[in-house]
Amino acid sequence: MKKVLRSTCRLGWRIVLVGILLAGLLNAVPIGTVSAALISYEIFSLQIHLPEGARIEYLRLYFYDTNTSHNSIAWITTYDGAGGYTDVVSTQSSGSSGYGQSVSAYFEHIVDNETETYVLNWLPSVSDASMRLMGMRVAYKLPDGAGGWVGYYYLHVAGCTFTPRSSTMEWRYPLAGGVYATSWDHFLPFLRK
Amino acid sequence: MSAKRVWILVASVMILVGLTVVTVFANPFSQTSSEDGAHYEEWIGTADTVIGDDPDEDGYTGPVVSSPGVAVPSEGESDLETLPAEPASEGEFRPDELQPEAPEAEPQWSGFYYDFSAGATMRPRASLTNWEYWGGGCLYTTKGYDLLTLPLNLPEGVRIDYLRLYYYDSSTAGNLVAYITIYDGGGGIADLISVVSSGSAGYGYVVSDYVGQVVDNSTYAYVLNVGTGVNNETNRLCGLRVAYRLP
Repeated sequence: MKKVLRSTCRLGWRIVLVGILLAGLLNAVPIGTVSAALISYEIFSLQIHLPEGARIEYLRLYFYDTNTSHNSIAWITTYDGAGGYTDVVSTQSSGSSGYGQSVSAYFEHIVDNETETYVLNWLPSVSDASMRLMGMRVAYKLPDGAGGWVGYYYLHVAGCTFTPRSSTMEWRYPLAGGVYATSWDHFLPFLRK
Repeated sequence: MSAKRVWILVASVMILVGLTVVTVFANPFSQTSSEDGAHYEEWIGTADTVIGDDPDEDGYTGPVVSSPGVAVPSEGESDLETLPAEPASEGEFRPDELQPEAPEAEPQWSGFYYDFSAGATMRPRASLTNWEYWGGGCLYTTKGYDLLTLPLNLPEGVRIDYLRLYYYDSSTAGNLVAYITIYDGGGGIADLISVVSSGSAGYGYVVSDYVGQVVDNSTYAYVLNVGTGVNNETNRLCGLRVAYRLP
């Protein structure tokens, strides 16, 4: 009888131990390792509103880039609300010397607020302070009513007003109106807020 | 089956049934209004119904106080070098720019136009700061010290005259502070104006000193920033209103 009780007790402790280990693994592995591996593919976004009929011609990216192996990418993307989207234009950071700006190639897109919503997207590519979004500027012209265009007009936004599209992403403020992605605290799931 | 196991089974079933009943009655998917679940108080402050009694309203005839500058900046000294972006190309005009025309004489300014944003639409500059929605378009922070931020998109050439902060302040430990800040994308920053909540009587608003800054979207990004002072519901951000004039 004593032998049976002892072995049952041991089994109970083993179940408790295995349970604790499993809980630890389930907590740490999916949030920590896997998320951190995928996290650089997260995108920061900002909704923008442009006048109906305006012609968008350039996107300018203001960045801080000291990363020697990656560049960040900026897009103007439109969504139709039915799952359809179009990346209207993109431009990316370059070099690794710090502050800089890049202008997209010339393009023409007439703003159609009836069927599309306009969003600025930014892919940091890396999750640390070596890659920062300092701002974006959309250059557009307005119709003059006689078949021509007047402008340029600008929609100019600071990087610190962008937020990630997913709540699994962490972000930090590096001063000067910028933003950068970070993920170090994903390795500390028990300490997460 | 032993009586002990039967009791365990019965207890488990009762817990499950209890949870199901609570969930059905709570109906978490039945939110019909953006204000469902929000907290309300009997007194919701005094709306500014008198037009012309504040300097940021048409018809005001009282004294106008020009801003002496921002006493407490929205951020400290940057630890980064502030460099002009692509200094080699300074002075050249890019394809997305036109040669600026000579400035005209001081334009005649229109009456006031407003950019009015609810406090609930602002978000922290870093994810270290948490926030909660209170109700009535107000929010408060619960953790962290990052400013809440929102882009300020105004027409080119308009003149920003005033910033108004709508708040709930019942804290004796800290006040809310709001800024209009401009960034040049190359590390440069300037606070155009700041305004601070006062007292601890609850809902209220405060109007800044006169700003008088003409919007230059070519060079700067304009941002609204707010610090809540304390991390609890005694200080709530309820809104920001920028008064501007057209040339």
